[in-house]
Amino acid sequence: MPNKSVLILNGPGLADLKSEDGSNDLSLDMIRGECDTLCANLDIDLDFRQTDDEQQMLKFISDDSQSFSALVINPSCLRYGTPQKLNAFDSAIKQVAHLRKPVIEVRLSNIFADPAETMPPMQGIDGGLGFVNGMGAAGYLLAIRAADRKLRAA
Amino acid sequence: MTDTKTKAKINTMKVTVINGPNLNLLGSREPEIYGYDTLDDIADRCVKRGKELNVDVNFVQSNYEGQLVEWVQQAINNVDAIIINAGAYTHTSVAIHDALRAFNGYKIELHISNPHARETFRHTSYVSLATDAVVTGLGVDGYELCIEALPSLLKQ
Repeated sequence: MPNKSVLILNGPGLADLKSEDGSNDLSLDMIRGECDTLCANLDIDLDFRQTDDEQQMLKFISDDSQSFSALVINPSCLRYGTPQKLNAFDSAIKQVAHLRKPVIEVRLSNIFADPAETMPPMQGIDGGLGFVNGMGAAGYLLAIRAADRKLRAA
Repeated sequence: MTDTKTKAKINTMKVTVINGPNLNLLGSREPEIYGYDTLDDIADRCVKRGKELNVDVNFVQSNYEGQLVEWVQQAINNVDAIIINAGAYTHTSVAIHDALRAFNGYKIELHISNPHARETFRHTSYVSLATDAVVTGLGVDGYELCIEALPSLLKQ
């Protein structure tokens, strides 16, 4: 069986998770550390990345994810923007999902807690992708475990 | 008084997994969407995984909205977390929303499929507004994955 590998992508702003009032002591390095440990235990090769650049994120999704068996992505504010930007982003995600690779969107906080929130989770070519929302760092770990289960069942 | 999240660090954690209408038909209802596992299969796996993690799992299902509200109310001050798949009541029930808001432990909304990938009438969730977290689209694995996540979630 080929090695399992997961690409975790983090979108704009996630390099600095500190809240304005300083109450949030979570950092992306802490999340990366927890993901590293879990992936080592599950015998998964992990590549954990963050970018503030939309074009680079599109390249990561469209090109780089080809060489991984699963994709976990926290798109951050990339799910907001002009229809053209959204289309490019959604098309790239659908390309990956079309390859039947596990794709799981992660959100640190519950984006639905705000009734004004209108942006839905990402969609695959034939429906839903995995979506883990509001669990903080634990959401990344759940997503890795979910990808591992899907890869073992495939 | 010790709050539920602090108690969870000391004692066995307790979680109520609440399932709404039509989930008793799992395994036979639209298996291309929901899979072939029955709800009993899932309950057995959750209880087993819970024992391994020192999480006491109470797994229940009803087709009646009022019963779901009762179970949420019974959980208040008695369990550390609720995992709720309210089925179609997700999109209609202010009563379940209100009951969940009265529960101070950790709350996860769970769906086997991704409601946002389906009919537009499934895109509104009154449950999401009252829970800490939402997990969708991971198939029936989502149940066990949420149980596995609880120990670290309750420590956060």
